[in-house]
Amino acid sequence: MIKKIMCFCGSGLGTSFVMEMNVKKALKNLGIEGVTVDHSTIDDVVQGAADLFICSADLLPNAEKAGKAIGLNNMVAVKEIQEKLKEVFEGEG
Amino acid sequence: MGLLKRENVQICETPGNWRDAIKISVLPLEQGGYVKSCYKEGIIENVEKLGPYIIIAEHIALPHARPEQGTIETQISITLFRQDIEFEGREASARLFVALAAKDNNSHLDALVQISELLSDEDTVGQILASEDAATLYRYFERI
Repeated sequence: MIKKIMCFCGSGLGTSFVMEMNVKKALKNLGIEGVTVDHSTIDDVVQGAADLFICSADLLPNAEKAGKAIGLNNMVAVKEIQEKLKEVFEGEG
Repeated sequence: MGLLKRENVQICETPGNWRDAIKISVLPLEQGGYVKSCYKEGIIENVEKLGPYIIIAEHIALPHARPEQGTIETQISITLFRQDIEFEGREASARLFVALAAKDNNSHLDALVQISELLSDEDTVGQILASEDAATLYRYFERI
């Protein structure tokens, strides 16, 4: 079950926040409730810190070491985020 | 909210590499006393270490570093280059640089909400990238 999503970038206040905002929009569009989303720096990305990590495509290898992860090419495109989230949540059954 | 001043919006000649592009985009913040001169180096180091995570969409970069890497006051500057500049590490390039200095974790968030909403519309991005002069470019962002 994915209950906690952590969006992260190298500094934890720009890119990661933009992602958090649009991940929340995407979840709402998908009708998924009860998931907390926050933003942080790469230093907080450790196993167990979240059920799903979301980051820019170049940081994906770092995220995959910590758990389930999504890499984004466009952090302002809710559509891309929505499609990738849908895939992950459907995979969860 | 006053985080973007007209004098901090500029259209510049495309530099030869992404490091120079970051330096140019941070210069208004440096000259205005919003960041220390080490701030741009902090951004460049972060990108060298972690890849171009500051590219938030095609053509758009959000150069930023941690408050402790040299921020004095929260402020934004916007630089448009005429051509895309390539970054290393990912097939990514950008010509609109929204440089962000945040003195803490919260003071810039409202501005980022607005910037993200503005830039999530592809047609608007197209118009912004085609801005003929800095005054036109500023008009898209003046509510920030």
